[in-house]
Amino acid sequence: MSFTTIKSSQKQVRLPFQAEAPYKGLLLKKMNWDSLPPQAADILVTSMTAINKPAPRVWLEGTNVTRPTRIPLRKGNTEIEIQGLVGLSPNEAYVTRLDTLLTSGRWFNDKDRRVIILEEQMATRLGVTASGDQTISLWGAPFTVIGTFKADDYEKALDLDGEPLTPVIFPDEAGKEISEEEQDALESGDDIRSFQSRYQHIPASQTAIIPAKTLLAAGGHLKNIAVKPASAAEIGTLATQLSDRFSLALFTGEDDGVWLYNISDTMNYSGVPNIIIPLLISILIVLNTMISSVYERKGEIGVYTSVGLAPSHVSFLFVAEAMALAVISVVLGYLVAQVSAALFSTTSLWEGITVNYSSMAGVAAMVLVMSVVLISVLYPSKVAARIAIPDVNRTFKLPHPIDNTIHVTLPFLMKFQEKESIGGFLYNYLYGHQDISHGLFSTGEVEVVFNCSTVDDIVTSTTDSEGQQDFNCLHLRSNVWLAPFDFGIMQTIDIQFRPANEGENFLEIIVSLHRLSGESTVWQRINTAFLHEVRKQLLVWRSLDDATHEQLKIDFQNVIAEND
Amino acid sequence: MTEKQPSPPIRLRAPLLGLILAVAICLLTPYNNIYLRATPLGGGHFPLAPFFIFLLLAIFVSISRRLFRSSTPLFTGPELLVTWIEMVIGSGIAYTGFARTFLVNLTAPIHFATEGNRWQDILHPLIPPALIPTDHQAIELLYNGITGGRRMGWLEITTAIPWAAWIPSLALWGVFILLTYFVMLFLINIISKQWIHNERMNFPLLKVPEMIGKSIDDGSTGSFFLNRFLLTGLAIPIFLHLMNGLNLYFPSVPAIPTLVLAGPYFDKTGIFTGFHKLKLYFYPAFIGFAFLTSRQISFSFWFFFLAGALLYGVLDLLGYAIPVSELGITFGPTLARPEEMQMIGAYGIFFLFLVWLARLHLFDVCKQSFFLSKPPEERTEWFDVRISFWGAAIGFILIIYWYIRLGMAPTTAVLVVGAFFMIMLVATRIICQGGLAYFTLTAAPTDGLIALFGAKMFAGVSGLLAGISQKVLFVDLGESLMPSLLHGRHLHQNQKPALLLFTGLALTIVASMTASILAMMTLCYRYGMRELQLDWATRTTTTVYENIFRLVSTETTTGSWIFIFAIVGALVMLALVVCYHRLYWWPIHPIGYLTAYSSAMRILWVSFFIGWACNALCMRYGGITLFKKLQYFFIGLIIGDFLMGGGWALVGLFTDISYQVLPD
Repeated sequence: MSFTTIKSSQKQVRLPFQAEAPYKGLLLKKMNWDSLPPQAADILVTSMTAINKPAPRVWLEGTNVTRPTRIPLRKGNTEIEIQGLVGLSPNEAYVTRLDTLLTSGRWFNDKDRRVIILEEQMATRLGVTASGDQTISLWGAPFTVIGTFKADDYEKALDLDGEPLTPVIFPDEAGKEISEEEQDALESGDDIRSFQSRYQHIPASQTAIIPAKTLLAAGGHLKNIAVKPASAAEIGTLATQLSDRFSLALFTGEDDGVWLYNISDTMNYSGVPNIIIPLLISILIVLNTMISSVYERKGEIGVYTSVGLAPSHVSFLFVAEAMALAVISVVLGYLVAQVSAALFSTTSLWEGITVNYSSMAGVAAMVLVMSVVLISVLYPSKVAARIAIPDVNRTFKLPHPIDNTIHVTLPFLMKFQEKESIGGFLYNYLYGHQDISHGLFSTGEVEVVFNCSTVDDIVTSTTDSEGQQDFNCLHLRSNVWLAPFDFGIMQTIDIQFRPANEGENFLEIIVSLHRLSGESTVWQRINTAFLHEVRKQLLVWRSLDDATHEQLKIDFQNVIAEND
Repeated sequence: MTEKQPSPPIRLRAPLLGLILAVAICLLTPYNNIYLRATPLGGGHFPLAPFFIFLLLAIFVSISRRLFRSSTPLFTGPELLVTWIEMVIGSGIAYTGFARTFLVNLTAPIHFATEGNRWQDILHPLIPPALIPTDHQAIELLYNGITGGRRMGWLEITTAIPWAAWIPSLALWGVFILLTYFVMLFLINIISKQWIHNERMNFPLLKVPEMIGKSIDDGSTGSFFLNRFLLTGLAIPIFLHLMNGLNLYFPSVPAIPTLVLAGPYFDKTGIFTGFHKLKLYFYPAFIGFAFLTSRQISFSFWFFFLAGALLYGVLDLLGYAIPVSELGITFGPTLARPEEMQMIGAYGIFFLFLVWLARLHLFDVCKQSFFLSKPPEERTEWFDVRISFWGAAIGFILIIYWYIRLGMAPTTAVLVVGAFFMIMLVATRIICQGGLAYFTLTAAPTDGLIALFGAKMFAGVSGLLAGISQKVLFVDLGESLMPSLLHGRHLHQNQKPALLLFTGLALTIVASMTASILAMMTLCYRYGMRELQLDWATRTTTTVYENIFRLVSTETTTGSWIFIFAIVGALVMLALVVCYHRLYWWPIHPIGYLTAYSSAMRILWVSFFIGWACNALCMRYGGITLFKKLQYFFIGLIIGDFLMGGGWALVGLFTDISYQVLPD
């Protein structure tokens, strides 16, 4: 831990946003239109000498963000309602040249307080002109109309973020039932607005403009700030400095278009070369220990194999054991390190040693130790698997299909008198999956048939077996759909119990799978898992007690009787 | 040998009762939902009222059978299921599936036009004749109500409605809607063999009604409802909603919270920024449905929901916070962030995957339809697939002609109709296979077309027609018809006579549509739309018109990031599909990716997580045997939730406020 360090750092990411910039400058805002603190513009000016004319944009935002705020404008007896009020500053003329959009009148100046710029049709409906001597009433206070603009032009004058300078609402949030918990959270100031709600801009034809300071004083919210440095060459440098300093989305209008600046958090893990040699040594130590352990436990592995564990299971046992030891050791190691540090760090024993106990360094060390153990145990676990079954294929290979049919002889033998018990067990197993689309497969009707299906069967059963045959091979047949069911793999399964070559009174199991629908390659691939499952069931059947065997036999006899 | 006994034919009484009850639900729904503002009768693809009535009918049939010891029951299990599915179809059409927004949609351009929004100048000249009613007085009466309407009887109101102003528009839209519904029926008939028989699709939403139906046939209704697992499951929602319902009326009774706001536990910025508004909803019924859903699918639903939320944080950390203005104009009901445009590519690839899976079946259908091969002797569909094939083809052409006749550009018409049905098919698959009682689309079909081909194809009347017609049937898929039709097809599988069942469904659709419009218009003309709870319908519809206005009046372009995200979505889906196809152990179903940004998943993800965890543990340690026992517990959760929903809805009819068991 003391040799390595983890450092968090921030990296600037500059993304191309638009090919052409509407103006050369910068735009600072929060994503999703969250408000900025009202002092943000002043802070910006004082923090950057290159910025002296910020253009803050302020909106009037109601408590219910799902609906537009209704703002009455009155002139004499005429009253109209608008839905948006925007506060812009006199600097807008310098930064964005928004003053050029005016169709009559003038833009704001620094002395303006109660003045308003109206949309052309709005002004016509109120019967006012931008002569500078006519007033309208906004919330009962007189505002002098100093200019008019066209809604179309205003909406087309997009900002650097590609959006018009009009307020937004979140209409999708309306109409939702708010639970008590959500109401409480809202009242306590939490923003529980869904992150999956899209906002909409109020049309410019429903919007009026007043000075930003006036609207801010009247309860408006600062939404973004546009700035234009004296020289366009400074924009890039300024953007870098600003994005380092403020955690805001930053758009820059430059000669080659609009760029978006974001800050990405990165993490550096340094000092790794210092620990490579100790790591290699520890890997070799663990490797040595584990290999010895595997060879010492040869007998144990034999027991595992004899009770039916596959080589992969034996192999995994060693991996699991090593991982358990790794987890225990890292926890103990961490505790010992902490206790030692607490006890000895102030004493002369630890003089000259600086220990890095940062939480991330601790986590990194733990992960490193566990990785070392995992890497070291891979080879010993493979050795264990080889010891488990030497000289035999470790995985089952499905025979190639002939005429869409696969015949597999399962590696099991059973006594003739066990036929009804195993038949009952497998019948129940297949019947259990009937019409259930869960698990590995689903079955249709399960049929119980007594006959030797082919001439070959009869020949085999008479020639290869020493016992007397009644030519009644037991078959269980069903339609089987294999998961994932989407592939439409449907097959018939025929499980046949027939006399075995191995000796008198023994039966073997032949599974025949015939593809009815679905893709052949997928069918073969999925059937490997299916046959494994059937084989596992036979192992389960072997472990049953006598009483259960007897019960299965009786149940199966009942099934046969019902079928007859 | 075991051979399944062929089930007795469905008697006329079942579809007839279904038809009557469906019409009754359609007539009552507007009054109950938007005038009384009581618990909605419908809601999602497992609506409350039909299931409640189905439960009552099942109990009534079982009791009457036992009392009268009749050998032929009043209704068999499959007959009750036929009745139920017709009610489900009716309840969907009566509300969000069609009627909730239809009248607002037709009248909004006139009623909400103001001098300020300039709809009169820009939109009105584009509106083809007869597309919407233009009689201002008739529209104002709809919003304000007929003078003295509250004192009039219902029949009197019906005769007082200015029908003359409505007939041309209703006829024009009636043709479009019926054509669409019949194309849906034909498509379901074509695809049903592949999905239901070949792919053995799991229908979690049908499991409970089917089990009740089976218990009626077996005469084991008593033992079904008295199963100890089921009773334990039933007790949980009954206790929960009893306490919470009583708390609403008597606040001194303590409430058990079913919503936990997990957002405050996550930082507003950083890698977990997408979880900042995370909510944990606990709905026992949805936990039940999730348990009955295939494990792979339920896992992928919650996994992709969390992965989708994590993506916001990862992009934020990497400095790729893409502004929303990149989206341009979108019609998707919940589309909010550019990252969500991945869904456009994902839907496209998944649709191709579905076609690829069904390729042999579709090829066979084509061969039969062109008389290159003989149809099979035994049919599993309602009727011959050749009729469906040509019916769907002619239906497509007629719908395209409908658009072109009204002024849409031919290429746009073909693309729009193709996109509509493509999204509908994929959504049907998601809803039915995933057991999603609640579903919302992320991106609308036209969003995909705009992102791929640009907004210019929707200039002028093309944009207007696409926007309105999409709002009528193809964007609010919460109670859409097509999934219910597939459910119906599954319930009708192996039932005879197929023609009677199909006729029952078709008549239910036509009758429900007529009854819904009639009920809605009567209610609106009596009380006035302003007085009714139509906030959601009004808001979403006006948003559609505002978007149409921007689409036809400004040159809005979609940002290049949208195209990048659509490509990313397509690639991710392709990778998922390939892994799903090639690796049999692959644990993630691609369907989950399609709902990652659906607002429905915000409510359902916890239920899916719990349902999946229970299913996984059950199958791992108990196998199919334990699953068969434990499923009764989860069925109990579902029945309990809906039983309490119905119970409290009845209480709500007599009180001013109503306790809502299920989300609206």
